Amino acid sequence: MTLKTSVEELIARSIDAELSAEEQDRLEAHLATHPEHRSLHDALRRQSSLIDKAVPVPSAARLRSLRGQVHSTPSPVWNIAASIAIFAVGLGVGYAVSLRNGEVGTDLAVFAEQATAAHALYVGEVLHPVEVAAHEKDHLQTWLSNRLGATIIAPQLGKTGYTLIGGRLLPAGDHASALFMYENRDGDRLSLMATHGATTQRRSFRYHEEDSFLTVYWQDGPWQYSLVGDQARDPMGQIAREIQEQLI
Amino acid sequence: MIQSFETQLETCLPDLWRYAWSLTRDQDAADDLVQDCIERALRKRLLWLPGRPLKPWLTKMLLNIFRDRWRSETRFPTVDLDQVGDLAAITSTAEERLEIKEVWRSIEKVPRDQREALLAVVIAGLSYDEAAKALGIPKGTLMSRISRARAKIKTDVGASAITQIRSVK
Repeated sequence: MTLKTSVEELIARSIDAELSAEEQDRLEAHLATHPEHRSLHDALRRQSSLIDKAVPVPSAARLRSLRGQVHSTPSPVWNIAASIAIFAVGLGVGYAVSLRNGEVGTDLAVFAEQATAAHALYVGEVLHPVEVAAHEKDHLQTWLSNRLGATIIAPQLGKTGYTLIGGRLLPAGDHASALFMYENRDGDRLSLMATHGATTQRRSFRYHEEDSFLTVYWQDGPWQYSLVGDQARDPMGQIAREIQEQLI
Repeated sequence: MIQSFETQLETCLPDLWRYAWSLTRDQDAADDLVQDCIERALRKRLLWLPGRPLKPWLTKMLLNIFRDRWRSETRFPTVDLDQVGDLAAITSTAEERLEIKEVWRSIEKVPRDQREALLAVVIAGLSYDEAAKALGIPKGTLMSRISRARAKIKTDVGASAITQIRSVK
């Protein structure tokens, strides 16, 4: 790449706010001694500003009305598509992880990644974060226990500031798994995913970070657990310990 | 902290609308595009992964809707350049209004893929990475399209300025 093209690229990136502070300083220093590049920079900056000036700014009322005219219920077709998508994500992740790592205990890591994917998929849901809401907690626990083949209860996380929103049934490999979702007063959400009977062993807490999510996962005998949220290790580890005490 | 779908949608709408306007130069057409885009986004919201930025995803949908219509309706009604953005209301000098008109007359002549790339960054306010994602092209391609668009506009507007000076003489 010649010096000329790289300066032009720097100029373009500067106009589009793509330069780091350090690159910006270097460019400024260069422009100070190269009037032809300074004039190109100024011309292109002005061009962008002229393009921008012609475009009207919509009023908040106009946008509210546009938004208000659209109904917000997702169609059932997309709910089904999403179930298939999450199943495919689970399979894909499972496959990738088993390729990467053949050692014993990998299934727990796979489960943790499935839990992360499930939480990522449902955490932003305003209307349908769960299939069965917390006010039907007894029904939820009975239903999930039947499907998992072992008794599961939704832990009480009141001490940590989180309350149960509800839960849903999800696939985890060839097993069924239960997902409970919790929310605190700030609207932060956590998911606890549990599955039973894939393997039997005891494994203490491990952490997995992916995108902005932190997953704590562990195993107690036949039960595998994953707790997923966007909080730091400190509250997440404590909440996981709280859950572990209640579920043992 | 992850922003919810609704919060991100609301934050994106002004830029999304302005991008729609810049592609069509028509307020009603921009309204239609944005409304269809919201509708499609809500239908597909379960496929959006929370924690990922929503804006590139929405912009991509808006572009798809725009391109489908562009094909089926030959093109959007192009508003007379004199009415571009209600120029009289937003700028002070007649000279600047003239310049804006020249710039937009030139944008009209820029190839569509270059125009979409330039406006995605300048008007929709997407970063290069986001714009590349929205347009479904590599970042290097995006940057070269933007650069070619800018060079063409600069040449056009420069040439027209020279003509004007000559014609005054």
